Amino acid sequence: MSITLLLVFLGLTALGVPLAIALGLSGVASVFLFTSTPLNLLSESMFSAMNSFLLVAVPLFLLVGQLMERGGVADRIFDFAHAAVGWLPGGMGHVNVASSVVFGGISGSSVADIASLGAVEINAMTRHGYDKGYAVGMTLTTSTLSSIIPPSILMVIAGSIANQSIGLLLLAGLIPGLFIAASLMVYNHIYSVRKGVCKPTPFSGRVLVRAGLRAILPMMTPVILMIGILDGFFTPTEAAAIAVVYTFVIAAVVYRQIQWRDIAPMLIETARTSGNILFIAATAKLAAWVFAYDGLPVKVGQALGAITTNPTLIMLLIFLFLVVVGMFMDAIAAMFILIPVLLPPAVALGADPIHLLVIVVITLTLGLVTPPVGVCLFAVAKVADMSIEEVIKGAMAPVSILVLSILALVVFPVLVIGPLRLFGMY
Amino acid sequence: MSTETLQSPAVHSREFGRSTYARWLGKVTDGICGLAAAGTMLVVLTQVASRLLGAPISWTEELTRACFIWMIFIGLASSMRHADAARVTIFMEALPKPLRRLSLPIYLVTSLGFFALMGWTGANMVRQQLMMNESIATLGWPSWVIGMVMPVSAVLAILCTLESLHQHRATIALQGDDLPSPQKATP
Repeated sequence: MSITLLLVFLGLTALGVPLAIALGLSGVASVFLFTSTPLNLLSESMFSAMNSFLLVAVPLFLLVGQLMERGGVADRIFDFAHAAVGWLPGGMGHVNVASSVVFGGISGSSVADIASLGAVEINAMTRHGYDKGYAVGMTLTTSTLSSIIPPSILMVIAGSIANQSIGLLLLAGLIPGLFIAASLMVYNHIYSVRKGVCKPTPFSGRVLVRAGLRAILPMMTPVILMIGILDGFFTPTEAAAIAVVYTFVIAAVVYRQIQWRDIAPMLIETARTSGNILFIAATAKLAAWVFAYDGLPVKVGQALGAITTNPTLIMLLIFLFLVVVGMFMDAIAAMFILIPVLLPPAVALGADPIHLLVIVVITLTLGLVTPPVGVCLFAVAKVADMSIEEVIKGAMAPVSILVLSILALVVFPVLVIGPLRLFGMY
Repeated sequence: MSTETLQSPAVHSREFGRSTYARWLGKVTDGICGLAAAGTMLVVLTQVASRLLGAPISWTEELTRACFIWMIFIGLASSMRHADAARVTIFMEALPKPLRRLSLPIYLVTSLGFFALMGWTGANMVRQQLMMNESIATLGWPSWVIGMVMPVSAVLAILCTLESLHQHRATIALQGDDLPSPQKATP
């Protein structure tokens, strides 16, 4: 039954059928062929999938991203990152990484990172002597940080699928995000010194303070969010709504970049994007029902258990599987299909649920930058006016660093859950 | 001489009728989307404010979910109007151009078929809610007020899919120069 669903889904997907529809039709076909359950299950499962207060955070975080994108925040963040790390050897590469870390702490969207910062980062790097391919590759790779560092929309979705604490999961993405950023900065340092580009410049505390003050308001967004969630002032969904108001005040009142007339189009765009994203979630609920009815998680658990019972090896197997899946399937669709199947058996075999979910999100994020269907890959090629092949060539090294960093996170769970335990949160 | 003056009155009238219909379809879907999105946000904020003021309101979570469900399902209809639905096109794009033409009928048959099924099963769900006299726990509203979104969005999605053929035919059929970026769902 599950195999039929997967085969029909893959067949329809290969034929260019929208993913959500392919998932829904394959679910309907499986229910119709293998059970006597009425087809009304389609609407009921779609409806119940969306009847979730947690998922309300998704459109709200999307709206925050839009407000920041249109609110003139990108330049301020870039200037701050420049003042903070631009003086180091290979400064502009570090600025690229640091900008994405800060931007990721506000928007939660990798595509928004490229749309807002991409051109600025690439131009700044090439102006300072970097090869354009490297600059584009670095920009592409650092865009993934937005999907990892809180508030990450993918983490919210993963947490709601797995029924885990969203606040904890959002926070769990912070250290891995910073770890990946640090790895990229180390690589950039070595690259820049070897190639002799972007020599160090004097550090100016005054410039840093000035740039920091200009960017302080948007940079407070993740701080307010995380403190609010962790101290129990509000739920993740409520935190997202607070973030909308906060970013709106910054963009409209303080920076005066957004007018009242811009609000309606932004709300409509948010609803449309959310409908597009969560349509997959709605139809995936039926697929999850089929998998549960068929006992797929148990079968996967038995198969995994037959290969190994070592949690680290299980995590490695899941990582390799997700790398391949992420290359061909949308991250959100993959999460909705695979988390209910992989999480119970992996946890039963000793894997930590928070560690597993963070690895699932980060590994599927890799699919955003890898061919053949990486959405960020296409976005950065458009921004840089380069062919996909040229972008891939330039991105080989930074993406390899990203893969190695994820591998380290897979093998050493302490990097993900250690900080949470250290502060008594987990 | 403008293109408009070259059209026959019948063609001109048909085109005018179509564009008026398209405009209204857009206004209806966008209007509901905007209202539902604004409603979602305002109700969540009311929930936070009421709790911080020490007078929590019990119905805000249910109303938030109601607005959210309407926003998502009408939003998906709207995304169909813009041919925005996430899809993998690389395999079809790899085919010779004549074979690629199959993309359009495949897209249409599966999309329209799915939404028809969603509309039919959604209508059954609403009928059941009416028969059982179901209501929402705290708000006290009849459940069909929210359940109704299933058949409504299915009808709108069918209309929007058909309408998208006028604006985005080349994209859907993978025939245009500006082929869609794949898999646009993940933000």
